[in-house]
Amino acid sequence: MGRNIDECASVPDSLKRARACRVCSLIKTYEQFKREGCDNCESFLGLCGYPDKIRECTSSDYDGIIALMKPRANSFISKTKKLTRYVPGTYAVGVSGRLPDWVEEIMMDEGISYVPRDGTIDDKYLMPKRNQRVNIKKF
Amino acid sequence: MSHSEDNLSEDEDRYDDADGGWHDDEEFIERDDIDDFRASSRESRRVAMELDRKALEAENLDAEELAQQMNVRYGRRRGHHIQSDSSIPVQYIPDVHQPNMFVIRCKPGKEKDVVIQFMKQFKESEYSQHPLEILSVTCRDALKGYVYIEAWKLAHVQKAMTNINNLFLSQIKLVPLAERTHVLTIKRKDIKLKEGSWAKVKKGKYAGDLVQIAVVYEEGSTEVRIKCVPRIDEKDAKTMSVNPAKRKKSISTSTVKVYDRGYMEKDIKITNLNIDISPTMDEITQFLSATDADENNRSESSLGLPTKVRFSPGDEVEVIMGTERGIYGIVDIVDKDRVTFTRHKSTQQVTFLADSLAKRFNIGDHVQVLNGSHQGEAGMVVNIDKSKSTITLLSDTSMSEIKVFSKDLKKISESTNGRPSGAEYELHDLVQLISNTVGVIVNVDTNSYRVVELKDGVGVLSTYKQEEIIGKEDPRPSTTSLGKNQVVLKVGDTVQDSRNENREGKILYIYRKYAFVLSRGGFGEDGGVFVVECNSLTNNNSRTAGMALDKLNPEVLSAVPAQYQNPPQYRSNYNYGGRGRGGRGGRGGGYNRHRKPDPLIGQTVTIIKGPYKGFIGIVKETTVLMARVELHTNCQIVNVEKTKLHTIDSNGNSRPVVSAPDVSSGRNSREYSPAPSNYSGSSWQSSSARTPSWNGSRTPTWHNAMTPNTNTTEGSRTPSSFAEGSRTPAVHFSEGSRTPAWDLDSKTPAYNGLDGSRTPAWDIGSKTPAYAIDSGTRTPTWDNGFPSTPAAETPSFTAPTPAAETPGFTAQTPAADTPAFSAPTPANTGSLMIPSTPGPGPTTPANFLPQTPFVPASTIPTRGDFRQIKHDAVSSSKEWLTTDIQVRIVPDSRTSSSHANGQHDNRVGVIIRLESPTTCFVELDDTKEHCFVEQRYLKPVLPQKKERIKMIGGEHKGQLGMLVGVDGADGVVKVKGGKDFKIVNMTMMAKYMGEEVTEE
Repeated sequence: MGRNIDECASVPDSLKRARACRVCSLIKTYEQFKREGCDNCESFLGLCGYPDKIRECTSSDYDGIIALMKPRANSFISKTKKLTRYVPGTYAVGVSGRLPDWVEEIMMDEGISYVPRDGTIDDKYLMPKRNQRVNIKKF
Repeated sequence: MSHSEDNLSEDEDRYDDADGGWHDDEEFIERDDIDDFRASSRESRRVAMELDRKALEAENLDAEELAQQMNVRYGRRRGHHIQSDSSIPVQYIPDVHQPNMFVIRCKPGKEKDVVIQFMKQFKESEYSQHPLEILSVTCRDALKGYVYIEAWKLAHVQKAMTNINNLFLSQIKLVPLAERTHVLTIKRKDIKLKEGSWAKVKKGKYAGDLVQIAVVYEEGSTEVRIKCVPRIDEKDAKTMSVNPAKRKKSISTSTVKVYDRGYMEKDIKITNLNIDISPTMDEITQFLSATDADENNRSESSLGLPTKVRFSPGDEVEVIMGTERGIYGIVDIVDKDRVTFTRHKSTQQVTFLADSLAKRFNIGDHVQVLNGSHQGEAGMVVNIDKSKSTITLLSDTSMSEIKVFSKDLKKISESTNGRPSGAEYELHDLVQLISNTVGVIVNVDTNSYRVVELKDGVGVLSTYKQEEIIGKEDPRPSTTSLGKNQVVLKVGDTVQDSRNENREGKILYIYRKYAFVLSRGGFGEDGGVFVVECNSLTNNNSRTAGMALDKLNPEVLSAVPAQYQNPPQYRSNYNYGGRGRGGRGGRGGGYNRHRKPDPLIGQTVTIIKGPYKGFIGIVKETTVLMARVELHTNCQIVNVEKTKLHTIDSNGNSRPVVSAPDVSSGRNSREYSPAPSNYSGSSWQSSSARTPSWNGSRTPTWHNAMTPNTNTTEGSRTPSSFAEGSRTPAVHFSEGSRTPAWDLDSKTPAYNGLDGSRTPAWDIGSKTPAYAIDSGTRTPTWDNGFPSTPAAETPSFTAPTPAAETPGFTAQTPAADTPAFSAPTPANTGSLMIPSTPGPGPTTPANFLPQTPFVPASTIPTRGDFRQIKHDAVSSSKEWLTTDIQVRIVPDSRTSSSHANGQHDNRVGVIIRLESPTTCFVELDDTKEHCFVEQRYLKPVLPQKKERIKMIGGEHKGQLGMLVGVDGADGVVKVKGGKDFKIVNMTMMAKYMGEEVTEE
C-alpha cells in the first residue's frame, strides 16, 4: 500500500453522506472515498476517482461507529471485528450488503479472503450457540 | 498447548526407547559396534539431559516471563490460524488480558457525534506529547444514549473525555467480560422481501399507508419498488388541471413514479418500510378497492401474502407450502420464526418456518376474530379458500358472512357472543377466589379460568371454575405502593423485578404489598402475569433506570429467543444490571436521591432564634430540617434549624424559610412536611388532596412531629377520634374470638377491618381530608386527650392548629428522616395496630409502620364485597338450612338489615328445627333461648380440623362426617359410612352439633 499502516485514516467530514466500505467497514464520506480511496483496500478495490465502484463497494447503510485508535493493541473490538490489520480510523460495526461478485473474484485472485460485514459471518464468531440446533426445513 | 513442548516430550520418549533398546540388544552386538553405539548413546543422553535442563529452566522462569513466552508462541499461532482458514470459527471470547471496556452515557442521538469527536481528537493528538490512550470508542444505533470505550485504565478514559461534549462524565461503568460481545453483536439483516407482500411506509407523505411490494431488486439493493394508493396532493392537482404540459414534465423528470391501473409505483428505501406488519383483511380490501382495478383482476392471489402470522402454543397449524404441505398438528414451541409442532396422530415433532404455516380450521369450526374491524365476533367457518389463508365465516350475531384471514382467527369451543358463554370475568381481571386469595385471570375458557393466584407471596397458576371465583376485586387505579428505593409505584407503571432481571412489565394491580405485573407483550409463563413483592420492583419509568447492558441492545435480545423457554441459562449474564442499580442507589444516598438542589442554598438568611439570633449568613448546605449557615460576621459555619431561619429578599423583607407554600410545593414535600403543616394547616391540606400518593408518607410524619406535644396543647382542640379507633379493635376482638376458624386465615385482620368499615368512624382514616374534617367534627368524643391511635392522625392534622404557631413546636423528631415513615397506608396500618400499641410513643411509629402488612385502603370496601359475595355463594344462593348445625346470626349483607334489630348479631346457635326451607329455629348457645331466624341472617359456622361436620350442599348434602384436614378452600372429609376421604369445599359444610356419632 505504500503508506504507513499506523497513519490514521481521515475522519468522515459529515455523517450525512458517510458510507462504509464493504470490505473493511471503514467509514468516510462519499467525497472522501472518491478523493482518497479506502485506506485499507485501495490496492485491490481502487475506489479513488471511481464513483461507480464506490457505490458498489461501499454502503450508506451501516450500523454503529467504532472510532478505532489502536487496532493492534489487543483490543477486543478490533479483534472481533477483524480490524487488527487496518489503519486507525472510524469503522462501522456492521455494513449491509455484499460486494459485487466481480470484486470478490478480484479479491480471490489477490489471495484476500473476504468476510462480509453484514452480520452473516460474524454471528458465528460472536455467539457460539450450543444445544440450539433445530431441524429447520426450508423451502 | 504448544507444539515445541509436545516435540520435546516426544523426543524424550524416543531417547528413552533408545536406552532400553540398547540394554536389550547388547548381547547381539559386536564389541566395536558397541563402543560406537555407546558413544552415540552418550551423545543422545547428553542431548536428553540438555533438554531436561531446559525444561527445568523453563519451570524456574517466573510466571510473567512464562506468560509472555506463551503469548509469543500461542498468540502468533492463533493469528496464523485465522489467516490460513477463516472459515474455522474462532471464538473471540474476551479475556482478562484484554483492555477494559467502559460504558458511558451520552446525550441520546449524539452517540455518533461523540465517536467522531473522539476520533478527531485522537487524530489531532496523535503526534502530540499526550496522545489519547484509549483504544477504541464504539456506538451502536440500537444502543441509544451509550458509548463504549475500550481502554486499559479508567484514568485514560477520563482524560480522553475531558474535551468531548454531550457525554455524562459521572456515569462510567465497566462492562463485564461476558457482556462485551453483546456490544458488537449485529443482527443479520435477512429482510426477505417478497413481491406481493405488504409493508407500511414509515415516513414521508405516505407515512402509515399500506403498500404492496411490487419489485424487489437484486440483492444488496437498498430500494424496492412499491405499489401504493396515490394520495392526491391539492397543489399537484391544481397544477395538473391548469397546466397539462407542466404536469407531464413533473412526472417525467423529477420522480420515477409509474402509475399502474390506478396504483402508483415508486422506489423507496427498504429502511423506510415497516415490513413487520400483519395487515388485516379490511386494510387489504381497502387497498384493493381504492382504485378502479377491475374485479376480475382482483383474484385471491392479489390479496398477497399475509405477512407475519403469530402462532402460539396450542394452535392447530397446517403446512401450506412446499413438499410437505398438508401435514398438520398442534404447536408446541414458537421460537421467533420457527414453529415446532407435533404432527397429528403421532408424536413426531417437526419444525417449520412460520411463513410456511397457516392456522388450520375446518368447515364448521366455531371461531372468533382476533383482529380487524370484526374483532371479537364469533361465527362458524363456512368456507376456506384454496390457499388456506382466507376464511369465510358466518357470524353468530349478524348472520352475515365475514371474510377474514385465518391468522386473525382463533378456535373457540362454543358458539358465543364474543366470549365464552356465561363468562363473567375477563382476561386480566383481578378476582377474589374461593380459597380466600386473589388472582389475575390469564386465560378464559368456557367455564373455567386460568388464574395466577397470589399464594404465600408467590404467583401460582391454577384453574378455577366459574363458581369458585367469588367476585371481581375492585381495581383501584390510584393504589400506590413503594418499590425498591422508596420509588412510588402506580398501576400501569413499567417495572422491573430487581431480583430477577428477566422479569419486567406493567403493573396490572397492586394488592397489599404485592404487585401483579404483566410482562412485556404478555410473553412468558403463566400468561405473562407474575406476582412480585412491591419492594423488589424498580420503576423503569424513573429517570434513573438502570443500565442493563445486555438488554439495551434489542438485537441481542432478539438473538436469544429462547430466553423465555430456558431463562436460567440466559440469566447467568445478568448480574451487571443489578449491580449498577445498587451502586446508583448508594451514590444517591437513598433518601435524598430524587431531591433537587435545595433553592435555599446560597440564599441570605437571618437567624431569628437561638444563640445566633439576629445573625445574617448564607446557606451553604441543607438537610431535611437543618441548614448550615455561613455567618457574615466571622466566616463561621453554624448549624441552624430551618425553622429558625428567615430569608431576606432584595427589599430587605424577611420571611420564614419553611412556611412559604411556594417553596414547599415545588420541591420534595417530605423535606418540609413537618413545618408547613404546623404553620398553615390549610395550604398543607390542599396540597395533600392534589397528590394522593403523599398521604402515606405524610401522615406519620405529622404524627411523629405531633406526638410529643399533643398531649397538652393539641388534645383538647383536635376533634380527633380516639373513640372510633378504639371501637375498631373491639370489633376485631369480638369477631376474632368467636370465629377461630377464620383466624387461621391470613385475611383475618382485613376481615375484621370490614366490620370497622361499617362504622362511619372508619372513614376518618380515609384519605380525603375534607371528609376527615367532617367526621372529626361530628365525633367530639375527644376528651381524654390521649392521642394514641395513629388512626386519629388524619383529623388531627387537618384541623388548623393555632398552637402550632408557637415557635419550636416543630418537634424535630428524627423519625421524620427515616424512610420508614413513608409506609404507604398509615390509615389502615393504624387501625390494625391499635390493639397492640395502645400508647405509641414518639419513636414507635417509625418502627412499626413498615412492619405491618400493607392493606391498601382501597381494598377495605372490596373486602366488604367479598364477604357479601361469599355469604351469597354459600348461604343465600341455595337453601342450605339443616338441623343440628352450628350457625351464627349475622346481618344480611345485601339489605344491611339485622335479625331482631341486631340484638342477636354475632351470636352462635344450633338449628334445632326447620320451619321452611329458608327459616328455622335456632337455639342460641349462650342463653339457650330459641328464636326464629330466616336463612339470610344465618351463616354456617365453619368447622375446624377434627370436628364433626354436616354437609349443607353439594352432592353429599345432608351427610355427616368428620373434617380431617383443610387444604385451602377445600376440606378433606371422612364421610360417615364411607371408607375413603372426600374433598369437599369448605363452604359446603357446617359444624355438626347433633348427638349422632359421625364416625365409626
